[in-house]
Amino acid sequence: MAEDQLFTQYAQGNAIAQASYGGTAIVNVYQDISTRSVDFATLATAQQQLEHLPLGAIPDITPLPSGSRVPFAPNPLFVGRASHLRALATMLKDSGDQDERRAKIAAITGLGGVGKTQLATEFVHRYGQYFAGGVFWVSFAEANAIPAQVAECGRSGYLNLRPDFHTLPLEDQIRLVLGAWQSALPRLLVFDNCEDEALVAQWSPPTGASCVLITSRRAQ
Amino acid sequence: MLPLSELQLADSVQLLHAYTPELQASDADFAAIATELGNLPLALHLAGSFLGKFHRVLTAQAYLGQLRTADPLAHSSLTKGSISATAHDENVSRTFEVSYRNLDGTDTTDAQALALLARATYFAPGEPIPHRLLLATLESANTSDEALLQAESALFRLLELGLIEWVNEREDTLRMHRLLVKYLQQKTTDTSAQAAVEQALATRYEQIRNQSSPDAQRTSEMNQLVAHVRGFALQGAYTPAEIQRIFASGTEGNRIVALALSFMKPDPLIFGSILEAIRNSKSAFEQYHALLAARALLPKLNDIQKGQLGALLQSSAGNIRYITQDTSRQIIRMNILDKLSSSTGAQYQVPMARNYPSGAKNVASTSNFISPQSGARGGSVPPPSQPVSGGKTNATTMEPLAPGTELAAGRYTIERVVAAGERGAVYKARDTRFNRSFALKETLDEFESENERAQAVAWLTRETPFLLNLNHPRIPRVVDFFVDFFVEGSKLYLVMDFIEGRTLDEVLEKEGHIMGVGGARGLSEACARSWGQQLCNVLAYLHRQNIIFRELKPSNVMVTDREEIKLIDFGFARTLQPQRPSDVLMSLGYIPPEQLQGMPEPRSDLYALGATLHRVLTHHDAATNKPDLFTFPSVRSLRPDISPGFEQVIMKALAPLKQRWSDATEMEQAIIALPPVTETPPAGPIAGAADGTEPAIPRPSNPQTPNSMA
Repeated sequence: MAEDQLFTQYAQGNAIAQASYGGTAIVNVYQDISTRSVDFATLATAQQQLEHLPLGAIPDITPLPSGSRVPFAPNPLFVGRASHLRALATMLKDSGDQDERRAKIAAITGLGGVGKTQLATEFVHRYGQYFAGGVFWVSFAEANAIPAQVAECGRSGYLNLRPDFHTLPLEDQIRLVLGAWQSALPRLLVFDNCEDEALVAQWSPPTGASCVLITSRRAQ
Repeated sequence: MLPLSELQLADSVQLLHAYTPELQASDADFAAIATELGNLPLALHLAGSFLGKFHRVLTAQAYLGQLRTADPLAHSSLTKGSISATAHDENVSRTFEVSYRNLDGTDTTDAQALALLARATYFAPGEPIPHRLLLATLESANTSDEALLQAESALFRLLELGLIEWVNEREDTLRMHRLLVKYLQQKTTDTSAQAAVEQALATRYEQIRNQSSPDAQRTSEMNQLVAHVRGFALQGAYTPAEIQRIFASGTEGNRIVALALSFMKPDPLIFGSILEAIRNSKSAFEQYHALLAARALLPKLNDIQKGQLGALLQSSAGNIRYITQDTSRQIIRMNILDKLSSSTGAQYQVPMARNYPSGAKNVASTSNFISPQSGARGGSVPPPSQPVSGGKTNATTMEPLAPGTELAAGRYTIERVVAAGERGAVYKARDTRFNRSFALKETLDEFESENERAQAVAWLTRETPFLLNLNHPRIPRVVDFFVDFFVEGSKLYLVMDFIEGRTLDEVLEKEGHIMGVGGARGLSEACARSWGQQLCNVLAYLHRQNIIFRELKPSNVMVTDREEIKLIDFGFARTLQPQRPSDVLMSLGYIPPEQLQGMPEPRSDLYALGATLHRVLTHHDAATNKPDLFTFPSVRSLRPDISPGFEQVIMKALAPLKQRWSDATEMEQAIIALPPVTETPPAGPIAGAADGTEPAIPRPSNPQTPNSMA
């Protein structure tokens, strides 16, 4: 059997092995390839980690949790904005409505060039460490480019949702990523340059422990 | 929702330095560049990269010159960027364009939004604009309620696109970034905008005037409006003939606009209109601004015109006779006549109102009214009908601002007066954008011509960044400054960290209960050591920056609830204002001989620190020092409970220059090296005297103070 045929069988996971002429074939299932759910201990640790997110002191820059997808390195020349960083931390950590299991959303708004994306980048590199599920940065500047970026978050190197992830149709990839974003594992999603409220509604997880940070010129 | 504004000036300066380590540029140059760029991070980032790249052939000052002479947005530094830290467009104009091109001129709402943008460019760039005033610049908005709603919708479009922003959470004041104003000035083709803004300002004046609100509030609103007209005068293009046209166009509101334009662009061609406005003004407010316009015009008048003005001001023609009814008008009249006297040699008798002195106590106490007959010195009041000669009259009365007063048009609200003096005050104020309290330090500066004004502005931009750059945990941070060019002076406001705490003076009065000998009382040694060590630390920092504080004394040191020291009133009196003799008198007892002789050096601050520590431990009044002011009684002669080691630290600071601690760090180390303070409660003087086991007056360890107990 050729290499890629084997792989196809493997990838689909529920291959019906039927040899020609009514014979049978043995199929070896090597791995359970459905999306793994998060075990309780990991979850508890992750939630505790978020609890430690400081609201007063501003944390140092630390490497992002594994799986994160952030295209920008911290800017060594970033200055000021301490009060804004603290304000974002407060907005994303505890907004009081713990009962509503909805994603917490914070938006940085202002004139073009005022440093919204820079502030978001700085925030991510300083506070990302407290989001055990990782940080996922998606540019919303072009609506057409969003799906591919979201899908990429599930690939190996990032969330690595399934070993065969890259072979799935784009819709399935997106569905899996959005599913992961809805888990109880705290993640930080950044929707950069998002000027359309409908896009926020479309892409932010309706449930789960993800926090969403938006940058937008729109003050409304 | 976290609205993001441009950077604070100090941060901008820091950012530019970070980009240009090779460039030997001063903070002042960078502050000027940052101000020119409106502290917009993208622009600063581009300017910084540009300066860093071309540092071999371009100085910061040359770059500043290029930004100022031409359109900054067209400068190659702000247009040529390609690689971005955030993969965003590296061109300031194109960044604005992204928002601007969303407006569709064929859509009704968008067309109104474009008209609003065009009008907004006529207000002072970057300064706050009252919401209703901006809407009123749309002619249609004044016609019906429905039209007003449409105008509001147009405004929402601009807010949505980030082209304009609310200044504060109350959402009654708007602001447009100064670079955006420059951008829009090139984009707009709306020829009706200037006239529309002019009319809106005049109409708004009439509205305020006819309000039934209290007089003080109305006057304050009218003054704010005049400030807007002055900003408008700088943005608009007006010839003297056009200003005359506005004078003639009827309402008091029109004339106020014309007077404010005249003030900003004085021209002898408008002289007749101004005379007319002084003589036949319809209100005290109008007459006041007419007088201001006349004074601004003084340097440009010929002798005949000066004679006309002098004659008019001395007469009781028209409404001149009402001038004496309020202090501010009377003062400007005197001020003008004073200047006319000195420039033409003519003698003008200044008509005085009988009730004048009581209404102007601040003026009397700060200026040099000299009555030749009585020979009275400053502080006395000339008798009515006496000619006033010589001396500059202090034209602006200095009343502290009332709580609730808004500054920087709504950005800061005064919460309370912390301290007030003749030439300024310190307030606790709230930054309404971040809902955070700051201390506002206000200092009055007067100028009497556009030239003086320009000098004052240049000087402030040069000197203030020095304060912005100080960074030490024991010095309140100066985070911002702004200048309020009102009436005929300016008030400089430094925005600083607000320190919750008490001055050492207050702590000593309230808690200095440890009794010593001969009426001495003071605070504990442990406190004094901790404060002394912290003060040494901050003095060492200042001395490293070649700054001598010069005014260390208990009233300039604050203690927070966490026992942290903060040095207040930092350098301001010294840097930005010449020291006046009265300041020196107030600090006597804390100033070493060399400083009194005009030769202060870093160790002078150590003497002041020694005197301060002496004071908080003993409450001793240095004015009683014998045989001279600089010979302090030893600490332990007044407070036997103080350890000999700490006493030596203090007395060595108070020693003659050559025997003093060589620098603040040495003194700090000496305090740190002291053995721990013993926990035994201090022996009171009565107990000590009664049991006789301990001498009530220990032998002074400093042989220089034999007469200390006299």
